[in-house]
Amino acid sequence: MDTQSLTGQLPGRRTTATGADTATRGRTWVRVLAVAAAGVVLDWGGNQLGWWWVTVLTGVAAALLLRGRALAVFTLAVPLLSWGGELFRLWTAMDTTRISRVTLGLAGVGDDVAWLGYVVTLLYAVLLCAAGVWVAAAARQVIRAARAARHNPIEQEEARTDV
Amino acid sequence: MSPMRRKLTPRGRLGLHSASLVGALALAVVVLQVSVAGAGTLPPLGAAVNPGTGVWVTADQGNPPHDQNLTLPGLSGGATVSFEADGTAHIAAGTDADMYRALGYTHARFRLFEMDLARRQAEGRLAETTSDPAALTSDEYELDLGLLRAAQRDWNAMAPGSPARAVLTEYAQGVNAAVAQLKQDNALPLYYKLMDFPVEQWTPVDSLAVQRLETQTLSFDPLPTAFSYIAGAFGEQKFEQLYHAVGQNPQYPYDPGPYRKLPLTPIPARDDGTPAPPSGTTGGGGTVQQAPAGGAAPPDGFAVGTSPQAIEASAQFQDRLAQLPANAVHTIGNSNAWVVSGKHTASGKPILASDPHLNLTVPSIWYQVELRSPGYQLAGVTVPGIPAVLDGKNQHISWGLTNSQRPGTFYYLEKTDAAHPDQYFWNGQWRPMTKIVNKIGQHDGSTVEYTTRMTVHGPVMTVQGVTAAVWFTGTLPSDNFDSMLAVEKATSFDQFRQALRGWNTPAQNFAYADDAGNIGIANAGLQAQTPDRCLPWLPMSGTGECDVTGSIPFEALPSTYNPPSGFAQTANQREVGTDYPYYYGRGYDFFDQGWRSTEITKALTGTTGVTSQQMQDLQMSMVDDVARALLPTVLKDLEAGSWDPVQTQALEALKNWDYTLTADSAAATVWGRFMVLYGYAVWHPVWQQYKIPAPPRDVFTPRTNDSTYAVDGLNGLLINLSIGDVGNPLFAPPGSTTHTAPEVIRQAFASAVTDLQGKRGPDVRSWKLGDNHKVMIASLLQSPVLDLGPFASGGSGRTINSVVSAAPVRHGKPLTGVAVGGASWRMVVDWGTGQSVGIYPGGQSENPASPWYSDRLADWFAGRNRPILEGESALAATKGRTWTLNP
Repeated sequence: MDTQSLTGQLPGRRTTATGADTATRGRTWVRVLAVAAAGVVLDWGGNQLGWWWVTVLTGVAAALLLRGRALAVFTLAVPLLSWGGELFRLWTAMDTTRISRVTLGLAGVGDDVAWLGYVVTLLYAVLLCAAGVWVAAAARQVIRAARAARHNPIEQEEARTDV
Repeated sequence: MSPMRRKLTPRGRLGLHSASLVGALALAVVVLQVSVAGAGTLPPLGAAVNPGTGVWVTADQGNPPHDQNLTLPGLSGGATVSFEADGTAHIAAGTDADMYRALGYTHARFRLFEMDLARRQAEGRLAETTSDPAALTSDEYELDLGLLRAAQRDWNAMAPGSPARAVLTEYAQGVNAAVAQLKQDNALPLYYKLMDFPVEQWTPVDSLAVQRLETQTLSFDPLPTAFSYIAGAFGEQKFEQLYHAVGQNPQYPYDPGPYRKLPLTPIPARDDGTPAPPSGTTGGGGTVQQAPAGGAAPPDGFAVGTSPQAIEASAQFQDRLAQLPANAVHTIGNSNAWVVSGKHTASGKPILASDPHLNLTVPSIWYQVELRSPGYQLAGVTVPGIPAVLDGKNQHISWGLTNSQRPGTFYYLEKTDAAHPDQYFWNGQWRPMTKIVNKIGQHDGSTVEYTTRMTVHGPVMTVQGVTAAVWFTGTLPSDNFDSMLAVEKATSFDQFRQALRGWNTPAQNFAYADDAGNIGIANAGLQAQTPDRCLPWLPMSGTGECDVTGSIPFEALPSTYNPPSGFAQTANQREVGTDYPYYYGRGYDFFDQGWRSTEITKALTGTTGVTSQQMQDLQMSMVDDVARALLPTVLKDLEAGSWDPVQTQALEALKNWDYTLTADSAAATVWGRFMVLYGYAVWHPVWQQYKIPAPPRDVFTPRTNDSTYAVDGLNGLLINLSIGDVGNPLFAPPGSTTHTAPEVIRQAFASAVTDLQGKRGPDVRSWKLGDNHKVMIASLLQSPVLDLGPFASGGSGRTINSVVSAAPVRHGKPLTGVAVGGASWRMVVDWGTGQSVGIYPGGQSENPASPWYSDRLADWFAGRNRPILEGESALAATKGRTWTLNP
């Protein structure tokens, strides 16, 4: 996959718009949405099998495929859509609120804050994804920085720049 | 001014990104750790909360079943499980074995966690499920007591071809088939997901252990240790004066005699790790010689039982008990069962009414079923984990159980000294204690070693300062399953009673009524005897003089069959009169005082045309027999007083009262408060005079906030004195302004009204008993979110519809005024109409998201029993909710 096309021309990068840029941006959006959709499907499928860790892996994959705001949106939206969507489906079909109350009650949090069960679950999903994203992004940056340091071992002078 | 910006060098950038990576990895490790292994009280979050397989999906598993074909491996043919709208299960199979396998399967599908928790408690394995320190305390206690050792011994002793062995095996395989299916379908109860412990295979030993746990709940009695305080302080003479062997209120034993004195039967060898006595004796679990070795003088039993050593041992033991789950100790004795002959019923055939009172839990201890196979046709309630209908009927007979409160727990103070470590002096010699090293698994995967020490009397329960061992009938060999299988097949009272011959423990009364018109009650269970000079209701000497000498023979146990009165009742009262020729326990510290027994007797005496509905109403009776006996005298005494307007209102309420302790009754509120303060006024000075110490779990000392066990035990005496000996010195304690019973009564009444007015205002009509008197159906995990209630309630331990037991603890605080014990199941069987009804609080499912979690509660509260359907009538009621089980 041409990751440069995804990583170099993301909506988060401010560039001067041209006709070619617009087309590229359109393709980029399509790919971003495709990655997000794939993430949602993978997370949801993993959940059906009890593979909660798939959410971490999709975060890792997203960090390799996306950059900037797209990655941030992915980190938030994909877990919320995949986990939240399934939660919503369950909520419409059965008494998940009772389960939430029981779970929180047994955890000693209280039995009158059922909404917290949903919130904690979704935050946890985002955290899983974010953990994967951060690890992969940081690893990628370390690799890039290591290459740069190897190719340009002479340290540059500190420069004073006006902004 | 322009800001400075440092441009990082490549190495600097590398360092920065490396730090970021370290941070990312740290976060990932933490997240994964919590996700995989949990943290503190948190379960592994990944498995627990993901919406595909975590706790959320357990909501779906609470939905009632529908027509479905399921596989149950091992069936020889087919079986069906059909469910009524309230979840009552009707199990039918082509063979007995298939029926019991299907029962195991059904129990596990609806109550797996409850069963698992029960076996773990019984087997000393609770600590594997939680990091709560109380679990480890419970495990140590259970491993000392030895329910698991007893269960393993029972299983090993079962003949290969015995019916009980076959039933337990089939049942266990049914449970395991359900477990496998639940695992495969990711449908294990949510508690497993939250508490993070695995489900293990069910074994027949587990069923035996669960049965032993019920035995412990019903018969492990700490009262002899507690009574060492009070008896020692009073002294023997005063103690006997206050606490007669039987209650001082009217007694109605169902077997009034005449009695036969037959030779004692041997106690079966315990064979559970207890040291075997030397040849020539059969001590400990068995029958021992009566004369002390070496010709030692017989001990003064009273002095031994109330000695400083006894009190020290008792204190240690009480401390230990205080940390245990509520069901670890026998605290409730409030079951009722009665049978009415067809000569007195409207239907012309007998009626049986049964309401066993236990800790009220959700999920309930009971699971209601109908079982049909070639060999069995049963309806009633089972205990999940135990393949037997314990309270119910077959096609010809019905039965209901009450606890026989007679003592099954003896305490021995072992003689030890520093020169003989881990030894005890018994029958003239120092003997080594047997040590059993237990390994207790903990929730974090580690294990703790715990050593159980045993003397010839049983496990040592305290070692600090003084060594005390406990001789517990509940761990003796007992063929309960064979007995229950025979009971379930019995068609006559003779067969019924013979079936109970092998029932050694717990001691129970089995009420009986059949379709042929016969009624009866049979008592079953061993009753250990000690030499006459010993006092088994207090801690005894462990040096050999007071060892158990045998048991009351089965033929001499109480029973009644078609009594001339036309009815028989058992309500935890002493089943025999004072001339019964064996040690049978003492009224004050083992048996119910007999108030419920009296109420039932009064209700049934001379009645004709009795209907099932009348018996159901009687089960709901909240009439206080103490009020019935004492209130007329109290009212007469109060007439002589001068009262302010509020007191006058309260007095009027009492005058118009029907002695019924309903939740909305103002009179019951006044009466309850008055009785507490009246008892306090009379008995508190006595406690002070004799300097009675307060044991750690004080159930004796008179107090002003509520009544206590020992004060309740004196109600019979108090009534007698209030009516017939109004000038007794008890009513004129030193320093008091009162001199007679009427004066104390007036003072207590005034105090009661003043107290109530201060708390509830001046309008007496607004005072409600239920405002400060509640009942709660307590969850097994002791969590408010799973509890049902507390609800305002009437009744008391003295009323037929009783509400009893100590305040539960939630969030570390006791819920004052909240009871968690009562009628765990109510059943009435009318053999004339063929109609049977029953109800228990809670529901058939342990899943809190299931409509069957608590759907029976409202009916239970209101006394609305539900039909117990059988055969064809059940078929119509279960349409669309049938599992067809195939091999």
